[in-house]
Amino acid sequence: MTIDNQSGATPFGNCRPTRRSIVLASLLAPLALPARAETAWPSKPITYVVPYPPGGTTDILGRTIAQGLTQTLGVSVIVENKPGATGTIGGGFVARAEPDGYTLLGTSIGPQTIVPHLMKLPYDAAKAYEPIILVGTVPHLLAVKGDSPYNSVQDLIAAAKANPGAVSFASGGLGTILQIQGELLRLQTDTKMLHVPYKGDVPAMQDVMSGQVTFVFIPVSAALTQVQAGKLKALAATSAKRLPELQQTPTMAELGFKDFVVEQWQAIYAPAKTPAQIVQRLNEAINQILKAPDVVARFGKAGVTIVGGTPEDLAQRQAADYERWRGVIKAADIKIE
Amino acid sequence: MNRRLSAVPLDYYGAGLMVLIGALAVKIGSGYSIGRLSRMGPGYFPVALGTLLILVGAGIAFAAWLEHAPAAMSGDKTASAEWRGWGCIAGSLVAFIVLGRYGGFLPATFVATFTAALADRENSARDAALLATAMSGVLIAVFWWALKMTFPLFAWGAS
Amino acid sequence: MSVFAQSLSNLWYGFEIALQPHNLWWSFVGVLIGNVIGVLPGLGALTAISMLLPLTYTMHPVPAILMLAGIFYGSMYGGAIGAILLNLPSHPPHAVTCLDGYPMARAGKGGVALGVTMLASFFAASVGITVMLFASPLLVSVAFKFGPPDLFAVMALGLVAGATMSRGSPLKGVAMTLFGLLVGTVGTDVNSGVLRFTFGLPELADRVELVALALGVFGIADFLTNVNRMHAVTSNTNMDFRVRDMMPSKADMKLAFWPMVRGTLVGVLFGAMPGTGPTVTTFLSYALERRVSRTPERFGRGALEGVASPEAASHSKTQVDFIPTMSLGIPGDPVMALILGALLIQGIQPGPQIMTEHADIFWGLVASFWIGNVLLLILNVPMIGIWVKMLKVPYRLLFPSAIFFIAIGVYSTNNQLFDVGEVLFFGVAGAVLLALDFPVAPILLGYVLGPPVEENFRRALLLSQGDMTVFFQRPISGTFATLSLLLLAGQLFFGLRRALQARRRTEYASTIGSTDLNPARGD
Repeated sequence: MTIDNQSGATPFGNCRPTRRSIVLASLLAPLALPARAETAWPSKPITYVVPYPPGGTTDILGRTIAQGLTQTLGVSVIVENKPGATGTIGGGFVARAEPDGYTLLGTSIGPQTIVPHLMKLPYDAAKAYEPIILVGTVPHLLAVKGDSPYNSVQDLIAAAKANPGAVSFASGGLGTILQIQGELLRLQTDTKMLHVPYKGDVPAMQDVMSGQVTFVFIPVSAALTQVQAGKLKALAATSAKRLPELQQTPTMAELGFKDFVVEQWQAIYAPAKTPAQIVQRLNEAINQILKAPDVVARFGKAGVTIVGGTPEDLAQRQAADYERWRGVIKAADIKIE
Repeated sequence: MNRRLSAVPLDYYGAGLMVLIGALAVKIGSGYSIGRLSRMGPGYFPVALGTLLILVGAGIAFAAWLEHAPAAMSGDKTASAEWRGWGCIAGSLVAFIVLGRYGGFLPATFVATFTAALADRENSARDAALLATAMSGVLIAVFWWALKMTFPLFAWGAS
Repeated sequence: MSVFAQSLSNLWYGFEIALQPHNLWWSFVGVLIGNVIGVLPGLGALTAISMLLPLTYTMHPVPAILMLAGIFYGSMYGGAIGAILLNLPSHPPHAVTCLDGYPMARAGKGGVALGVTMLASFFAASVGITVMLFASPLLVSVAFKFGPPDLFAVMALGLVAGATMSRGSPLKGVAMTLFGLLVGTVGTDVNSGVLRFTFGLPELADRVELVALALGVFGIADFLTNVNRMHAVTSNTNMDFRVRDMMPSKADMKLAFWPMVRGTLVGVLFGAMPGTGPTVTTFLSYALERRVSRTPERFGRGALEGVASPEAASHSKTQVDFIPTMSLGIPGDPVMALILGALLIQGIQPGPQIMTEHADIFWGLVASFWIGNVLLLILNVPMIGIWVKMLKVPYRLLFPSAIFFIAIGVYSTNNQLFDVGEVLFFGVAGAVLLALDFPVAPILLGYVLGPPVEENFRRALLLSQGDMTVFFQRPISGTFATLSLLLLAGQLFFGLRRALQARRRTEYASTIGSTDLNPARGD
């Protein structure tokens, strides 16, 4: 663990002390254990399931939190990637797991609120879990090609109205939040737009940059550098307030689109019927972790705004989005046989 | 070159297999919506592939008939089937799956390697057991300890 | 001239970064780990990186990326060893290497094949790095010109060339490519979300696992074919070779030189095309080599050219690919996707500014490629003798151990025992197909190219609203589409003519000797 010994000279050298303190803390963690060991839980390693492959946002967040939990709880929290079927394979695994607090799920908005309306799942995403905490949110941008003739959302809509079918939007795949937003715009403006699905957000973004597809709703984290380089033009943000990095870009709400605050979110769940005190304990612990400066920094780099809060906050957020996307999916007639 | 055992040239079997796979693909694929060229459904590609496969299968049969002799060159491949080898190798992988799920990876490794080793007629049960022990050691030292892979060594009674 | 000078000064800066002792150390660690893991059957670059990726989350970005990149090309070198000596391609581009590498190993020339592979890899990587350095702005702008119709046309050419490259009947190669394409459609359809050919198994929703398919049709199918029959083969070959015989001779190098150069060029050409991955490159370079060869019948039976060219192609492609990958964030294969993921974890967004904003990482990485390749050469060439000793392990002990390694390796790719079942399925299927004299390598090509071919075809027609001429309206797609059509027509014509000639001949000749007249040297 002497990885950073000589890295002080490089631009990222200032991260070093925090990382060392993590190492130190994890060494000291077992000593702190007896004080918190009134209950039997936790007495063995906890599995933290990430239903996506390593390297994505959910995985980064999961590993950061697992590392923090290992220190606070005094048992190792092991991240296990169970990717597949837009997050529902890992989701199903946790839904079926023992509700004993030793299996957790770190997942995102899609499998919890969108996919259930599109696919028949072997579990009920609305009922299979105890919510623990809403970790954070990622706002989106409505972006077109850098040298696109469209300079505002109005231009785009005018073009779609003048020439139905000529305006297309890319998405990271069927049933992703990217597509849902495109459909939402289509519904609200009553225009004809062509949905072009890709396998993942980045390929979708690339074909917008090269002019194959007209526009895309894309997470700020993925698009920011392309916008700054002029390869993409951000027409609007889906956040509630203007983004600090893109002060000139208006929000959809400012442009007069009602109910167009859309945020991708990341949250942690346990199987349904997990004892309340375990959920409470996890919630408190993770809220603490989310306040640590190095965690804040790491989340910031991943483009995630930290939220935190109570399990009830998450439950409300999930229920609201669940109903909202049900409506959009029905109105837009998105179907998977 | 060995003399072929079967009177029917090997390529006719191959052609038949391709036609069969192609037909299955067309049959299952047409269950998905086919769509049209401007908006292809999920069935379009599989049905197209299946149709092509049927045509190519027919082409293989035609070529075999044209050449009058099968293109199969390796006569040794048509020698009598090696049932023991096939059974043991398949059994080995099945054992790995079943024991990996219900008994843990250590017994899975031992039994899988043991069974696979028995596929070869020259291996005695003792050789097989020794090899299985060695691989169990590799499992623990390399995969479990050094690579820290996530699997249970023992999982008796796990679901 | 100033661009040239700028590149040189950037490179100099990169070397300064990469040669800092701790960076060099982590680069070395990565190369070593990658090399060792790559040799293990079933554990390719993908597994190695995904297993070690979490370790880098807490590391400083520069050594973290250098280590991951080291694992990547280290395992490419290591994977070639498994492919040549054991017929086990853990990384799909090596499937082509198996075609001639494994026959060479069985004929006691495994050392030569390995030596040439290492040298070709090193040469190609060096050329690739140079091209990447001096042509990067060009590469990035070229990458932007590829839309869905162009990508479709390029991959169609890869399919046609790959399908007809195998030994034996071209029709059988086409059949196997189609079979591979069908296997590639298993899983969730991107455009509609419909589950295809999953037979109610949720594990199939995410496609058949590539590693399981590769190790099934190569590894397990080979064991099934050879179990209890290997003794005759091993006793035929001289296994008591001396160390001197294991190094490539001057004649070998001469034979391998132009294939290596051609392979490198193919890799460089394809390097600029985003999303094409190294697999199609290896198949194309092999097909090219077989076509230019004066003795194409040697291919598939241990032709050195068939090892040198694809290995060179895959290494130069990987290197050249790096700039489009980094500056567009478009990974060509899952391994690059993981490396991009690692960058994201470090808070480094791949994008046009990466060369200026994260100059230490970018140029350090470029320099470390070259350093890593030197390290690998130093590490591996003396080791060839040791690797080749693996062949001295009796087959009766070798294959059961390999089956264990395959099982655990395939399990580790998704932590799923179901995938081990896939290995078994494709092993049996592969053995049956081999027994019917079908080539299995095109299955892999079809599988790898299937989804991008279908997606881009559908996407192109979706955007053109069903207008098929879109493939011939654009210069890039027009060229490639025409080439593939010509190639296909040529194949059909020559194949038919040959078959007719054979028929005419057999009508005169006695039927028993007819196998010798067979068009085994089909091109």
